[in-house]
Amino acid sequence: MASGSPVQRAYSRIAGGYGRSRNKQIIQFLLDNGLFIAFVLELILFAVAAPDLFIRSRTLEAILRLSGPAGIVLASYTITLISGQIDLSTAQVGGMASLMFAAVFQLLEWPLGVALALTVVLTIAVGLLSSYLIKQGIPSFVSTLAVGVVCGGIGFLIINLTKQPGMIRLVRPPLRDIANFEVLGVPFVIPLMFVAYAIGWVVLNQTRFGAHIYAMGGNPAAAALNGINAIRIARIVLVTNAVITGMAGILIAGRQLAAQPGVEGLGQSLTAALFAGVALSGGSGKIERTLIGLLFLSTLTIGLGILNVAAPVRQLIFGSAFVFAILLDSIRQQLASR
Amino acid sequence: MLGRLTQGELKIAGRRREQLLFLMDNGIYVVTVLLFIVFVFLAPYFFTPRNLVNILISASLAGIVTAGYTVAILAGQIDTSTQGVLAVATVTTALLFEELGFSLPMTVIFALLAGIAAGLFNGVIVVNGKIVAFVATLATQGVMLAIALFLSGGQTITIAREGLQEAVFIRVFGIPSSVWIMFFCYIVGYVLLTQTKLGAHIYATGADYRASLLSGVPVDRVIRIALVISALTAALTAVLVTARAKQSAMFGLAIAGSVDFVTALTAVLLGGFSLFGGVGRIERNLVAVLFLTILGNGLQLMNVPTGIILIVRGFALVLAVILSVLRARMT
Repeated sequence: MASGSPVQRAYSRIAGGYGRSRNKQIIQFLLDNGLFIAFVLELILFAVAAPDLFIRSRTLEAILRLSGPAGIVLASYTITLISGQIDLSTAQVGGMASLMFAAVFQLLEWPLGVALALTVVLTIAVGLLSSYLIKQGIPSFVSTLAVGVVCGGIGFLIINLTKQPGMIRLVRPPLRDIANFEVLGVPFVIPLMFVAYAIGWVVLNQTRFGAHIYAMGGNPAAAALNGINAIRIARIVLVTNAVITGMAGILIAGRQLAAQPGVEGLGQSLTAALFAGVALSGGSGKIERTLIGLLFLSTLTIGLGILNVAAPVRQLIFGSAFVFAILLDSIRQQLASR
Repeated sequence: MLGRLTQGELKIAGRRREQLLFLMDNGIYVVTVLLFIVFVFLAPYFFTPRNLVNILISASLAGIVTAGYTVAILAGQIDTSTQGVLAVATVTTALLFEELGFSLPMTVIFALLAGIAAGLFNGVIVVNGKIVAFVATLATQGVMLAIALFLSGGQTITIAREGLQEAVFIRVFGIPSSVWIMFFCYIVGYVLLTQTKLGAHIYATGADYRASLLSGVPVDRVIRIALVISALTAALTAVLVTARAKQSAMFGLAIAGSVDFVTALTAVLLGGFSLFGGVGRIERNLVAVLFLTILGNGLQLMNVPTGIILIVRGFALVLAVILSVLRARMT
């Protein structure tokens, strides 16, 4: 059945009672489960194209390692999207946070806890700024875009002030070990990602707050009339998202042993969420599905790397994937409104 | 609140509102002049003939992008693909002129055609895909950047052949030709928006899409045309930027004073346009562009770190958006 909020599910059950055309059912089935099919097809395709290189435990590990920090962000990003806010500052916030952390931890050699606390404070400020702008009646995509420009500037400022050549090397022992810490042979970011998803799932599906998020994203006006404090929810969601993005930025920097202004791998959150059926306009979508969307994109990255596809082609593929994802969302919306 | 006000109080409130609106509309002139005076004293080499010409050229480049961008905003379409169009057009220009040896007019024509193609692509995704322009163009930008990367092979193409820079930056009556081109763009934009049926349709589509659709305005065509115009001016700017730098610019890191959609969006909003289309006058943008260019140029001459310039740019956009929302609330 149609994915989405309890309200939508109930609605489609009623609509189903009147009988739908068979074609529409097939399209709906494809929209709901196409991602699984595409993911399986993708795995088969890469396995056939590069059998000895792709079917290895190291490839699986690389895919999961790539998904780890991005998945932690995606869990909170999905909640943000469901609440009706599009956050476009992810890459810049992640970069700024990692640079801030690196400057304090690596260059000033302050303790790990202090560096983390300072970074958290900075990212909270960023989330508050975005939500303040949204409170003024500015759409979230414009507010977060502007805030993203500011964050990019702060990142560059840190590089300017510390006189580093474009990035800050991050090799001080404790962090290096934490970022590459393994539990039972598995990098710890992977269980951490599942924990993030579990928390996200519980918040969205088992709490009043989660119901409010769905309601607010689905119909802000109706939610406001029912006494839901939209501004407060937006603030909580955006601040959480900024803090988590910052932490993920630090994890990525720790893995790469360097902090840079823009963090690669965080820009695909929107594509992954849209693939998984989260509505761009908010109010519907299932958080657990976005995990498949993420794995799909990570597998694509690693697979194309194994096949040695040229950088421009790779970028073209990911660019087209984004275009395709928003087209899918548009088709879904049109079907839902019919 | 309003219900309790007496007639006299209402009149005062109305007058205060008018004063505030007047300030918002004309404040930008005062602020620009003040900023100029401040930099004359603070920034070394700011008030030299060479730098003033420099500012004029930079402003004209940003101004050309903004002219087309304005049309898209007026039609209610926030175009975020400017960077992608710039990249495709700059690579096209450099490739055709340097590597394939095309003549100057042919190079310009093909670069502009590349811009038109990009605009049409945006139009297809926005109109046929029924997607909000802001997100649609964000996605198409990725594709365009990839195409630019593919065409250039990831390399900056240096233009050694003579004739491009010289031809584009000929001084006419002592003023660089790019400034004349900018004025030409604004005159065309002004006439298009205020004197033609299409202009009226663009205002109508941006102000109320549904009402325009119902009253027979060909909204889909209007949106397509607006997006093509926006991409076309971006391509024209790319040709000029390429000629000025004598190489294909990759627009990776956009610092203040350079051209990209953040500058264009800020200028359009500072110029008094609504983020949601339908309101605004194109000639105001000229001042806003000049303001942003002077700001970037002055800060650079004062040797302010790039990071600070970027932060200032971000806050300029924040301020512009807040002003725009305030204005919308008051009118």
